[in-house]
Amino acid sequence: MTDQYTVLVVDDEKVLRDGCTLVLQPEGYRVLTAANGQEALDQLAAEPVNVVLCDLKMPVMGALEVLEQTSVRYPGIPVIIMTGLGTVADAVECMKKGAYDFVTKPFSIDHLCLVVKRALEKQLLEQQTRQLQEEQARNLYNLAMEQSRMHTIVNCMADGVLVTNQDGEVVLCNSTLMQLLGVKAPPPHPGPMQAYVGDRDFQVAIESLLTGGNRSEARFIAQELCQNRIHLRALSAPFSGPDNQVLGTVTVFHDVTHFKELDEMKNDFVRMVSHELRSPLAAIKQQHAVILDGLAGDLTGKQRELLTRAHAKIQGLLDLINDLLDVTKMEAGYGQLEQAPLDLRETLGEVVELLRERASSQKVTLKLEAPDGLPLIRADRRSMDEVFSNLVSNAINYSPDGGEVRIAAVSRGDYLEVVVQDQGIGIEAEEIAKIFDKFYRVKSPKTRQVIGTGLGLALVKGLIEAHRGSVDVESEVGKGTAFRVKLPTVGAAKGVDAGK
Amino acid sequence: MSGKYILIVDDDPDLVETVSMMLESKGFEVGKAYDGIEGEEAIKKRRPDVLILDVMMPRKNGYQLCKELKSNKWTQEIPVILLTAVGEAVPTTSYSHADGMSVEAEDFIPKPVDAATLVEAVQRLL
Repeated sequence: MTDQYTVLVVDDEKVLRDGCTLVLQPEGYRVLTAANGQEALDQLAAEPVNVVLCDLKMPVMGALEVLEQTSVRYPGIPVIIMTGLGTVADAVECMKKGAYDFVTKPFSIDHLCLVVKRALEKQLLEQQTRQLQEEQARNLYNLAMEQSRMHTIVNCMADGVLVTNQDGEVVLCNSTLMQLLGVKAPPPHPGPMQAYVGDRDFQVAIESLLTGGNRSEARFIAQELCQNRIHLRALSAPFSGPDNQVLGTVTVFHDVTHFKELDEMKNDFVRMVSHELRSPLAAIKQQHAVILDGLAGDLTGKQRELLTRAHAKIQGLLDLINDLLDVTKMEAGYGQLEQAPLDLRETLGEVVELLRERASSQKVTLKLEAPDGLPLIRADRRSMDEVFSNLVSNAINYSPDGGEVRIAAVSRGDYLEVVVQDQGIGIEAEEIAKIFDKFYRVKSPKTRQVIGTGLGLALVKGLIEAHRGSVDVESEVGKGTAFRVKLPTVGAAKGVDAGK
Repeated sequence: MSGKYILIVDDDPDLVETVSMMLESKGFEVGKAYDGIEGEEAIKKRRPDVLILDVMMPRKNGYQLCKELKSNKWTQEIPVILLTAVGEAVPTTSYSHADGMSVEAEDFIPKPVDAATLVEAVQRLL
């Protein structure tokens, strides 16, 4: 039996030892006996004991001495003193020394059993209490470990981490970020954002995440910012409590300075090569033109045909180089973009006018729908020119004879939406994801005739995103394609400012 | 157009040759120079009725020469057409136009030069 309790009976009188044994064994206890204190201590050392019943006065070693030893060596084992009536005072002395209880001889069987049982219960309770205390201590230790581990992890991260509370104040900024941002001493917690990140756009982004804004939009904001000549890519996301209320934001900053430098070098290289290629090509094209104009003598029909085709190829190369230069210009930074309030209706009108001739030569009609009173957008005029020239001339190129290209601008509250819709050959679903990639061109027998560089749409997307807009595309093969451009209005930008 | 003297200044001899063929075919008399300094000397020797000026040139670039001519009362009346490669990617030329105007050139033609455009621009300035 595993939960059988062991009682050690210590008495110099054999009658009493035997009596106790007779009483306790039927109750399910294992009973050990000892004739004096010394024997008792030997027994205790030899095997586990739950309760000790100990006579007060014994030869060799009495109860007082036993108690002195057990209270030190076996504090968990309750000791019950057996005493005659005349020595109750001594028994009380024993209690002071740490005995659990005492019984006066002669005692009844019931009384003895009750006292032993209570002693065991007390022992059990003490054990449980001890276990609970140990567990609690362990938990507290783990918690402290977990906190310091989190702290260590966050601080050792190679990326910067910044956490704000509901009011947009900084409550955590790891040491990597302090270094990246050039923050010397930690400002008080929670500290104002201004003391950490000076970038206005970043502050606006955090505010918009905190105020919730448009819930259907992706719930994180990616940005690039530059502080102390260090370029950082910042990914910010809100975190919410159980009731979906936004409690703060977490932003991870990644140092992309090195990439920026490489990118700059790449752009410089592309720029240099493009310029070097363009001049001789321009000269070759001009020489072709002079020959084709008959200024260098008469041409046979075949010569003219071949030269005309070469001429078109050269033009294609020149277009490619020009697009490359535009892309590098675009990637070199949008800081140079001059963003002024712009009436997009005028720009669209100019683009349509410029392309109308080309459209009609390809038997395509252009239809512009731009109502009066469209809100102004904050944009770079030349960029918008480029965006819509690209989209409309694409639409013309891929339209069938007699097709119509519809350009429609609509106000949608915070942003202006422009749809460029054609009735052309459409784009296969698997191509759609790739059409904004640089140098990507849809290859099919139907598009072979269309000359292009594969940079136009990359440019469109880059420029629109630089204006905090978005462009997406819907297309049905054989039916047509619609490009949907969304650009924030001047009012929307002001709204964010006013929220501060 | 006989008797009208057009000076073309460009560091690329191929360009100079083709541009002069375009103009000579229309009966213009054409002078040639191959950088800004040579251009300056050619103007001193014979005053052109129209000056066609490349922008990127060694020794003295087109913008510089144009500015100097326009700030000198003896030469400021000479009409200048600037040839440049800037800004031909888009159908509008407003961007490049603005750059040309800031040095007070009378007109601007993107490279490569289209014969009809060139002749029209020259005739308009005579």
